[in-house]
Amino acid sequence: MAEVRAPVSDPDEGEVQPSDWSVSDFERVFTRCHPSVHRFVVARVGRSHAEDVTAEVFAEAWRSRARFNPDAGNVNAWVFGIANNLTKRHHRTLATRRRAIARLGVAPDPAFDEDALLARVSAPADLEQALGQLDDLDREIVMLVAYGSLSMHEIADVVGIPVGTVKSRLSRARERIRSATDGQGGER
Amino acid sequence: MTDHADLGLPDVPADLDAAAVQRIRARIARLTEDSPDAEGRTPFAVLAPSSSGGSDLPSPDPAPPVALIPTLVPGESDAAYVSSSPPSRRRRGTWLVAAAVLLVVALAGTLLVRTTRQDDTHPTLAEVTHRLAEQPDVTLAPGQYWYYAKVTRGAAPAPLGDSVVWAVQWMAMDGSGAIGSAMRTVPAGEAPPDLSGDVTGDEAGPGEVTALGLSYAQLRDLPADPVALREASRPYLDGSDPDMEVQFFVELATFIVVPPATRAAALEVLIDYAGVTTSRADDLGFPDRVAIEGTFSFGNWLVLVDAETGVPIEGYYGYPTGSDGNPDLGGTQVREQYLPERIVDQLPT
Repeated sequence: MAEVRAPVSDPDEGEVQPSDWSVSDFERVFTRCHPSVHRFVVARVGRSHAEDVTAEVFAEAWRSRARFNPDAGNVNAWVFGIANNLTKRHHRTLATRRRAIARLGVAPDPAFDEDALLARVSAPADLEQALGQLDDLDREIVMLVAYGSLSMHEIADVVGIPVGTVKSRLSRARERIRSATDGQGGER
Repeated sequence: MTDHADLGLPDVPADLDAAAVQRIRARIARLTEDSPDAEGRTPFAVLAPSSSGGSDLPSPDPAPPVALIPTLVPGESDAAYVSSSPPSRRRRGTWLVAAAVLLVVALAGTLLVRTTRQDDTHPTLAEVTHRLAEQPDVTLAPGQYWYYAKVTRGAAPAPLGDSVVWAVQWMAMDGSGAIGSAMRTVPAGEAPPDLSGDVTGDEAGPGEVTALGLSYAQLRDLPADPVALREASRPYLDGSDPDMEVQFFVELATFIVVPPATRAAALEVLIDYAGVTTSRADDLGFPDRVAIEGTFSFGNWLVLVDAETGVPIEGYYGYPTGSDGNPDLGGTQVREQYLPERIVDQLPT
């Protein structure tokens, strides 16, 4: 027999808690966020791993839903925080694997190489070089801005630093990218 | 907003087609099968209704692609269920029973209704309706067609077995009076249908095209005052059945060809309707939506509104029904979802 839950109209029943997420709630989150998350993941880990990592992002969101605090930021930023962490973990895992493979004297799979990833997304060599010169946090911010289409506030929530710091770091990263590309003889 | 081009970075097309989304959903289902919620449900797991007590199915794409819209063949219309009029209890039953030849809509997921945090930055109901009333009017020029999709989600019981039913219908409304519809049935346990593909079970043809029992001209002539609108709608409702009225105004509020002021009046009728529980910001933290929802004697309804414009994004109307298609609190849950609409310049082929 179908259960029909009445809408909760009694304010004394309190706010919805993250753990109250139903499957339908999650469906809405997925529907809303998955295109941009997937694009960001493609940019971070490459197309060959993107579907798996994207699925892991949302699976982790479901498992961790009790930790979502809507007062600390919107759900988009929260999901991107998971995506950012998982893509970093992905790179760490691949780096570990590369080192292990290297010890065996076997050529590493280029799909595991972040530089190769940038090449796959058609970045010119000077841009790869520019991104390579950024520190990890600046690179994260650049990637979130460029491929996550997040606002400054959302990025601040994702990486856990103040909005002003995001802006200053982005400005600095932008200058470095511009210098690198200009130094190679071309405006893009 | 800054993007890759502003930073001198290359574009990264996601290439996320429907098949890729299905693969991701399937992987999520596998990854989360050991993490059910309090009701034992997990994301994207399509459950057999008879044993589960309900299932939540992933939403279809918000607007069916043109490829979904069936070829309209004059002279072949016999589709009682393509009418977008709000079914009376009798007509609702007729619709469902007719559809039961292909499907009997049965148990769907428990309706999503929750409390939410309040956010003072979000518009009040009055602001929402005011913003909607101020939106540009959308009319159909000659040669244009209005399509909308209504998805009825449920799951078919015996004798259809464990099939989960997705009924999609849409209508072209112009001087030609062309209408069309299509439905799909998906076996329980399989992913929801890929709505970008071909659809079987199409029916189409000419006839008097109505939505909610009103012609295009009648829709355009509805009053913009909520009291007058409610009165003017009575001839199109089944007596004084308040449930009918709720469904009527939920759907009317989503119609893009209805003058914005009239749509705003429809929202006001809903807001004033007994059983409206709350109006609030989207409760998942999305800053740009307001949910207006309530109950009626047999179920729940919701209109999701763009907070910036007041324009309804989608609505749904859920009710339990018995095997005869009539409302039955002990029956199976059906959810009719009104999806974003659009206007196109030509009929699909």
